Amino acid sequence: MLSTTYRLFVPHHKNNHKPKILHTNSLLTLLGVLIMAQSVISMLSVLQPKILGFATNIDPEKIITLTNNQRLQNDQKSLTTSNKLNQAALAKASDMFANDYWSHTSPGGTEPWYFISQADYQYKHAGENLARDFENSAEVVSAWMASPTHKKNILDSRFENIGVAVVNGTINGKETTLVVQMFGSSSSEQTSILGSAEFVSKAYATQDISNNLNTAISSFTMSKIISLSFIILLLVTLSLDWFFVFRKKLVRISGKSWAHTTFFIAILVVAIIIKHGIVL
Amino acid sequence: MIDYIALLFLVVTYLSLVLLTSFSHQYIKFLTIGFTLLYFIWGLWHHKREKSLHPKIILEYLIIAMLGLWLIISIP
Repeated sequence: MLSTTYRLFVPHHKNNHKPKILHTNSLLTLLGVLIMAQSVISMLSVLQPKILGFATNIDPEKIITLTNNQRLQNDQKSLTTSNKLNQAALAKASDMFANDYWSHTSPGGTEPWYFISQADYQYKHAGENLARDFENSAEVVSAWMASPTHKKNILDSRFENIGVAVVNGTINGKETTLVVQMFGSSSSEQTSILGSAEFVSKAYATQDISNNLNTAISSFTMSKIISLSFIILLLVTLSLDWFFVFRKKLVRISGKSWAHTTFFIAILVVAIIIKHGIVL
Repeated sequence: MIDYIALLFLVVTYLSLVLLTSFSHQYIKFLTIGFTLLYFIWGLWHHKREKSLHPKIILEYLIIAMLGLWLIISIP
């Protein structure tokens, strides 16, 4: 056992002065195992969504609170929740799932303003932010704030009302949580305060779907853990290799492991910071 | 020495561009394809300069680049 570990990680004469893990055939095996593991995750997330589906904790009320926090930090007035804009956002999300599209405009040419008008919201100004595949409310609002066009909507001084829908479904064959945020200003709008019966029931209706999936482990998290484990394994091996090659003053055709180590450090940084969601 | 400076420049550029994308996985995946491809080319260039370009070395850099690429693009 000890000699196997030694052979796998430490360069010496029995492994041709290179850790067995860094041999071409071992690297190919690692690549194969990685591809297989990620394929199993993809299959499980489709076949057994309760075990390995997508898990989210996005709350419409929290999205509104975080949006208003951003506005207050930027000297803008808070937005008031509009039940009509909530309805418009919900109708837009449902339409995106029904017609399988990820865009502000539907394949049939329906624009966001159609849903706002259909909800009987007479708008002077209106705006829409979309997000998908995020795991929590804070990530959604952060991603919008990091995008100049979405940030402009969030901080637009012309807007007075807000409506948010969080809906789970499948777009382009991929299970996702869709967040639709509608902004508007209208002189005729009867606004409702947070906590009104209608808003609460709507918010809970969307949350119910999410809560069902909260028991699952996110396939994104699982894939990320697997990728990070592989990178750490390779970095540990490369570091040990570098250390022993340096100490024993070995001269090899493949040289020291400095370049591969630098490469995997960059990959490690990116694997840590990569985020799941997309905004539009 | 110039090879290692080039590699460092490549890594810093890659990480800087990743930071500019607000960590969006869509863009990161495209950047990673470019980064791993350039790393493979860098490996060949480096070993050619060192006069140690051997088919085994080419294969090693190819697999390392593919592993790096797959480790990022397999994150859904």
